[in-house]
Amino acid sequence: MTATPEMAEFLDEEFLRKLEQLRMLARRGIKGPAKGEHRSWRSGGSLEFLDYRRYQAGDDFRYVDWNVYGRLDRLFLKLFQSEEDLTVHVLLDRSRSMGAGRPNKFLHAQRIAAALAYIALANLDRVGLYTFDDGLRAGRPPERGRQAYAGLIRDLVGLKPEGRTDVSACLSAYAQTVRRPGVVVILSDLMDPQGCEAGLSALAQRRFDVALIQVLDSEEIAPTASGLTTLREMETGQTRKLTLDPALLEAYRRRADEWLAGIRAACLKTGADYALAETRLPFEEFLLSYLSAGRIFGRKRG
Amino acid sequence: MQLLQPQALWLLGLVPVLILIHALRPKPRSLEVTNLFLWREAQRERQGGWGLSRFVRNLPLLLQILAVLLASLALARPTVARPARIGQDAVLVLDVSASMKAHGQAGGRFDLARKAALDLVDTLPRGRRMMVIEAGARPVVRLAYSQDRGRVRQAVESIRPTDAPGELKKSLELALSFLDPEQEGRVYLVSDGADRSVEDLVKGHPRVQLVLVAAGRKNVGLVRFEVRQTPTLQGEYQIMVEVMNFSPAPVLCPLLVEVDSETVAAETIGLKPREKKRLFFPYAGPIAHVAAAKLEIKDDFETDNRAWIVLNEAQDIWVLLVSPGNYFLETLLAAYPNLKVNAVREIAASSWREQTARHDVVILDRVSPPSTPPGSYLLIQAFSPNVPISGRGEVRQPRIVDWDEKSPLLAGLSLTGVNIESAVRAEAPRGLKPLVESRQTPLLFAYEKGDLRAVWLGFDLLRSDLPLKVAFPVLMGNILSWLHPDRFRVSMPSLTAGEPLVVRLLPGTQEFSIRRPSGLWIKQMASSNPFEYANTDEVGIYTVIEGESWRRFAVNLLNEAESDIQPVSYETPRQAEAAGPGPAPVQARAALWTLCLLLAAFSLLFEWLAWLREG
Repeated sequence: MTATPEMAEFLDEEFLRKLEQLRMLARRGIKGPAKGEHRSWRSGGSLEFLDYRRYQAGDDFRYVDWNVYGRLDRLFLKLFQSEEDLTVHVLLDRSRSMGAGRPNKFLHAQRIAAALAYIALANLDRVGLYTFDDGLRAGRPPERGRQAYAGLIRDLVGLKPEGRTDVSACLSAYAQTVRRPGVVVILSDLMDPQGCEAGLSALAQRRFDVALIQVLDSEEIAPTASGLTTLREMETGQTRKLTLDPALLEAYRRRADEWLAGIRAACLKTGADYALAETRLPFEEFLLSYLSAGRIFGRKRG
Repeated sequence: MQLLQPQALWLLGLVPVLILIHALRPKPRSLEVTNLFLWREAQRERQGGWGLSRFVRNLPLLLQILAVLLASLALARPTVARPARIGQDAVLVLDVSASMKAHGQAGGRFDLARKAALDLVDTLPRGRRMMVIEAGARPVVRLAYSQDRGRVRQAVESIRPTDAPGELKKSLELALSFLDPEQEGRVYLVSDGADRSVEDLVKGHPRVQLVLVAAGRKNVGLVRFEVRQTPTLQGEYQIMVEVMNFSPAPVLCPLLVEVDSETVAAETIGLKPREKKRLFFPYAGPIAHVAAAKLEIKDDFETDNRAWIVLNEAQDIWVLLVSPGNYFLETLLAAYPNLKVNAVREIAASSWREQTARHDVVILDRVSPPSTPPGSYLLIQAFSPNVPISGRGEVRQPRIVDWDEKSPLLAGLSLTGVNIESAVRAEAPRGLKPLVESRQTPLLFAYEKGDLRAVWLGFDLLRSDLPLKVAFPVLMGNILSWLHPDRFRVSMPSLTAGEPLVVRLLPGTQEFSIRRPSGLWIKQMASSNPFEYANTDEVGIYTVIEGESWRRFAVNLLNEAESDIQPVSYETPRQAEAAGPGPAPVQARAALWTLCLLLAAFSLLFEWLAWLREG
């Protein structure tokens, strides 16, 4: 892998060390408490026995355990742990609003994406990387193996936030274009007045396991600026003059809370997992708590 | 709404300054945000939308502009008209000037005025008082403050119009002096508005309420009538008549001029609207009685259709000139055909009293007399113990700065540019008003006490260029006329109606009688000499009978302002048109400046609060 200056900055020793720690943590998460029953089963030659369940009309007779039938006079199906590789789709919002924040939201999202990709590749999963703003942009199709990591990082480093956001349209488009659903990790600030519920629904219909990580700067949730100010929206360039007084800031905070609650409700409705990644927290701390809860790789899949 | 001092609106020039100051205030800082939709919703939640936000942001400027507007408005003294309802004590001023005798289809002006006044009286609430002032040539208080509505009505009904021009300003000032400054009393002036001298007072004084009445428009009137001797021809006279058409339409008006009841001239004059014509008629013959001018026309105002002059044959005037020699004076006196001049160089003290008694006028040129017995004197740089004017030194090159143009002694002349080499520094009692003044000293006085009449001139005519000026013969003519009016003029000066008639009584007269033009005889006690008879409010010939002798005086209107009976309005022409003929609705004006000032103060208070909130 040829290291560009941007990559060198991105993949410094500290970052790689943190990735390795996270990978170890992720591994524990996978083999830990999350191991157990599947709601569905996969056929295949390399299956590890997992459990039995009652036969239901339409089930494949090849998986009926005839020994149990002989003993109990009832039809049971043998269920196996799938050893099929997992496809992780990383969808990164690269709209202009992601360039805001201190530290930068986009950099924060890039690091989370890089970390998750590293962990997934280390687990021999397939990882694909796509970006979007007001449309779905070209990305990397799912690949497996650590050797894919260098290319993925190169692609990540080369990204610059630009364009406007249309989250739902992009997620819907992605849901329609992907052939093999899997886990889709969406990294976005969701700064889209239209919301994201339609996009999440489209992904859910394609049986994606959706993990939505909303990357926000603390100023976006609880702004602290004051006085007569001209607000300029980064994506549209629209401006508003207003006096930022305590009452207005309080009203904004209330509105922001309502907005976040709305996103959580949409996630709940579509079965997506939601996490808020504030940039004031180092990304590894976020991932630490996020992964230790088994919210991606330790999740029970159906 | 009416503004009493609209010039105060110049203060509105501060508004652009305010806007400029606001434009120069610190600009808002710029902040990039990732969304506006949350801000928009927050703003909407807090203040109900961006429109209100913009309004709130500009609120200090708007309030400052509002404060300036209101302050300007307050200084402009705005008033609004509202239906009058007497709330406090009121003074009713009823115009009885000559023009109130005009009549039209709606009736006589005075009848309308009286009706409006009575309507006003009916609004007098219980416990409130009203005063009634008759506004004629002089203000007359017809009824002191009274709560009795019946008495007030009676006082109004007893008032009659006169032939005299009005002095409404004096009447209004008198009425205002009766108002209690602590209360919101008002003066209600019921008038046709012909006397424009009150326009400013009516418009400018918030406690004066004008009730306009209008009736009649067509009028042709005599505005001047004089008879004088033809300067070069003994026994020949000129009669001058000035006629003016005050109507909005042209008229043909027959004019008749009579002397001693004999027709001198009769002709029909064509007059365009607002046209004034001056006509001269020569007359030769004896004159001893009365000249009259008559307009034989039926118009809406009859008082000015007649004018009279009492004539008297110019008689010889004996003049005693005491002078060391004055070429200009001697030449001028010799030019008058009826002046008989005896010139002496010095005074013979022993026979001084007899000499003065034998002459009608004594002129003392730089020679001071031992005394000035009763008679008529012109003192030129001379002093008399009987005339309280004394000299205290000399003034070099005094420059004339002022003279009393209203004095008959200075009528029709200008003293501009008169150079005087030196004059006496004169001292006179405070009550004696100088008629001509320089910066350093008074230069001309007229003194009158009992039978003594004197004109005092404070500089030597030969040490000034006055004799070379046109003003000199005019001044001397005025002085001689004032010193001996009965003999010097062909005609007795006619009085304007309302002007006091000064009757010089013979010594020892106890009582005398006056016959008014209406034929009414009035007996008068000779309480003073000269006696002032003030009730000349009727035009015509007044006859004074004193023992066996009798004199006549003419009283005329001859007043353009009174003759101009066109309806006037102190409002805009549109309002006047809308008002139409007849009495205007009685309305009162309410001053708004206090309200404006209060609102301006509130604006500034809110502006301060808004500033605090923004800060």
